[in-house]
Amino acid sequence: MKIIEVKDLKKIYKDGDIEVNAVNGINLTINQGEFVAVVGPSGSGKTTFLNMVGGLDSPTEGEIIVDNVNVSSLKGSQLIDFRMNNIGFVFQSYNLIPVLTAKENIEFVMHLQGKSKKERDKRAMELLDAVGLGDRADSRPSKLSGGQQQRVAVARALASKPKFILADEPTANLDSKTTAVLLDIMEKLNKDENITFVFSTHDPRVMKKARRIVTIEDGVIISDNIVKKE
Amino acid sequence: MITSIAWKNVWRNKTRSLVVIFAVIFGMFGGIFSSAVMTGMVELRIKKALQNEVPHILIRHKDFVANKELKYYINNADSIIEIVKGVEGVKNCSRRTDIIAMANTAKAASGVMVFGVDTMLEKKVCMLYKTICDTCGNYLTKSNQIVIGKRLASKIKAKVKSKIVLTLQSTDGNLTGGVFRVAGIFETKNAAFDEGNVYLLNSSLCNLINFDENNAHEISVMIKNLEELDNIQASIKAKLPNNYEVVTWKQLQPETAGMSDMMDVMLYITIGIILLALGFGIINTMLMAVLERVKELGMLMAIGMNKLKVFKMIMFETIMLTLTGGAIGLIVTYFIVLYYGHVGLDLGFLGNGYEAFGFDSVINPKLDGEFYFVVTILVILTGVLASIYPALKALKLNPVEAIRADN
Ligand SMILES: Nc1ncnc2c1ncn2[C@@H]1O[C@H](COP(=O)(O)OP(=O)(O)O)[C@@H](O)[C@H]1O
Ligand SMILES: [Mg+2]
Repeated sequence: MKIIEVKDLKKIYKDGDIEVNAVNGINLTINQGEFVAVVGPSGSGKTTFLNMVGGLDSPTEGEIIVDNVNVSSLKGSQLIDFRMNNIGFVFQSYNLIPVLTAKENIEFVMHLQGKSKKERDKRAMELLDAVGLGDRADSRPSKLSGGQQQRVAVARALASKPKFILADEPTANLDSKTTAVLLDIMEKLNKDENITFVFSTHDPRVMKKARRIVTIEDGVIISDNIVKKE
Repeated sequence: MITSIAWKNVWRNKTRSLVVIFAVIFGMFGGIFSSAVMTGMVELRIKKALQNEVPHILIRHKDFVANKELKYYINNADSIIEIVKGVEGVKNCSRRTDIIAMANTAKAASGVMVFGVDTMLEKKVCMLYKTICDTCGNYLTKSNQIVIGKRLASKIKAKVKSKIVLTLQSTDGNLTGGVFRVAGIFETKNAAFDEGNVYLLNSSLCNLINFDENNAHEISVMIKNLEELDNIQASIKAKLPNNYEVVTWKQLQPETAGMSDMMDVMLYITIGIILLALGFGIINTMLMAVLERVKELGMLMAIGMNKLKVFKMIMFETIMLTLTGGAIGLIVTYFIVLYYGHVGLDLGFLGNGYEAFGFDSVINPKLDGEFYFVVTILVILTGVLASIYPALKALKLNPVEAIRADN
C-alpha cells in the first residue's frame, strides 16, 4: 500500500542573488512497512527532502501525497494537526522536552491529541518497554545517555500512532554501539509492528541495516535500491 | 499540561528566574512600603490636625473670615450651641472669641491670633492641651494666663511664667493691652500653627476688648463619626440663620485634606513606574529564554504544538514568573506594613525636616485593602503585557529553521 508519494519535488532556496536547488526534481513512492534509508553526502538535500515530506517545509514545486492527502495544500493549524496525527519525527538533536520525564515526553503528543490519561499512561509504558527503557520512565532527558534519549524520541514519535516515522540523521550524535542498539529497536518495530521508517544518514553502518537505500546527490535521486536481506 | 510545562520552564534557569523574582519582590516592597509610609504620614497628619488644630466643623459669621473684624460675631452663642447639640451625630461644641493681636516680650514681638476659650468646653473638642509637655506648664486656669506654642515661645523668647504683653484693638476701635503670664507651651509639630496661635480665657479676653461674653466668633463642633461629616454639616446649616456659615475641617485646612487625594495619585504613579521598570526586565529575561530555546520550540511545533499553545506556554511562563515575585512581594510587604503599622516606624534619623511640615517622625505605615487589590491587578497586568512580546517572538519561529539552527 502506497503511503508516501512524491512527485517532481523541487526546493529552491534564494540566498540573495544566488539560488540553491536543494531538491531538484525528486519522484519517489514509499509503501507501508518499508525501512528506507535516504543517503548522500552532506549538502546533498536529505534534510530538505525529509522536511518537505514531513510538512515542515513547503516545496517550491511538486507534490507530496501522504495517505491520499496532498500535504502541500495544507495550511497553518491544519498542517500542524496533520503532522501530529500522521507523522512521527525523530531529529538529530534537541528531540526531547528537557523539563519532562521520559514518560511525560512520550505522553506529550498524546496529550496534544486529547487522549485520556489512562490511554496515555498505558501506551507510554508500552512504548518505553518497546525501546527497552521501561525502568527509566521517570528520568529527565539530562539523566539519560544520548542513545537512550534517541530511543525515547523514537517512542515519542510512535506515541501518536503515525503513518510513518521520519528520522533525520538520528544516529549522527551517537557512538557505534548505541547506534546499533537504536537501529535494532527501529528494525524490530518495523518487523514486528510493520511501522514504516524513513531515515537519512551518511553512516555506512546505518545504511547496511536499511532494506531500501535511496541515494541523493545534488538534490536528485541517483540510485534507489531494494536491498534483499535474509 | 501546558501550564505544568510552563511552570517547570520557569525553573530551568534557576538563577535567572530568581533574579527576576527577587527584583519583583524588592520592587513591590519598595513601592508598597514607601506608599504605606506616605499614607501613614498623611493619616497621622490629618489625625493631629483634627485633634489640635481644626475642629471637625466650624460655625462662624459669614463675613468674619474675610475681615476678621470683631463685629462679625455669632449672636448669643450658647443658644446656637443648643441648636447644634440637637443635631444627630454631634458630640461636643465649644465657642471662641477671636482677635488679631501683637504679642510682645521684653525681647521680641510677633503677630498672633488670640483665641478666647472656655477651658471646660475647649477640652471637649480640642486636644491641644494634651500637647503641653510635663515641663511646659498647664492649660488655662486663671484670668491672667496665656497659652502659646513652642515656636512662638522660642521666637519671642518666652518661657513658662514669662510675661507677655498683648496689644489689640477693642470693640470701640481703641488700642488696648494686657499683661499675661505663660501658663503652658503647646507643641503640635505644625510649625505655622505653633507660631501663630495663642489662647486666653474667654472671660479675660472679652473683658479686655469690651466684647459681650454672650457672643462668640466661632463655634467648634466635634462629631461622633467623621464619615458623617458632610451630612452633619448640611443638617447644622439647615437649622441656622443664613448669616452664619458652617464649614468642615476640609475647608479650613484644604492643604491637609488635599494631601490624601494627592497621596493616592502619588502612590499609583510610584507603583506604576516600578512595574514599568520591572516589566521591561521581565520582557528581557523572557526574550532570552525564548531565544535560548529556539530549537526546542521548533521541535515542539514540528511534533504538533500549534501556535496558540506555544503562545500560551510562553505567556504562562512570563505570568508565572511575574506572579511568583509579585505574590511573595505583596505578602511579605503586607506583613511588614502590618508590623510597622503596629509598632511604628521612627523616621527621626532622617532629621527634623518633617516636623516643619507638620509631620511626626514616628509613622505608622498603613495601606487600604483597596490599594493591595489594585496593585495585585496591576502586577497581573504587567505579567500579561510583558508576556506578549516574548510570546509573539516565539510564534515567529519557523520549525524548519529552528531545527536546522544547530548546523
Ligand atoms: N535555509 C536555507 N537557505 C539556503 N540554503 C539552504 C537552506 N537550507 C539548506 N540549504 C542548502 O540546501 C542544500 C541542501 O541542504 P540539506 O538539505 O541540509 O542537505 P543535507 O541534509 O543532505 O546535508 C545545501 O547546499 C544547503 O546549503
Ligand atoms: Mg541534513
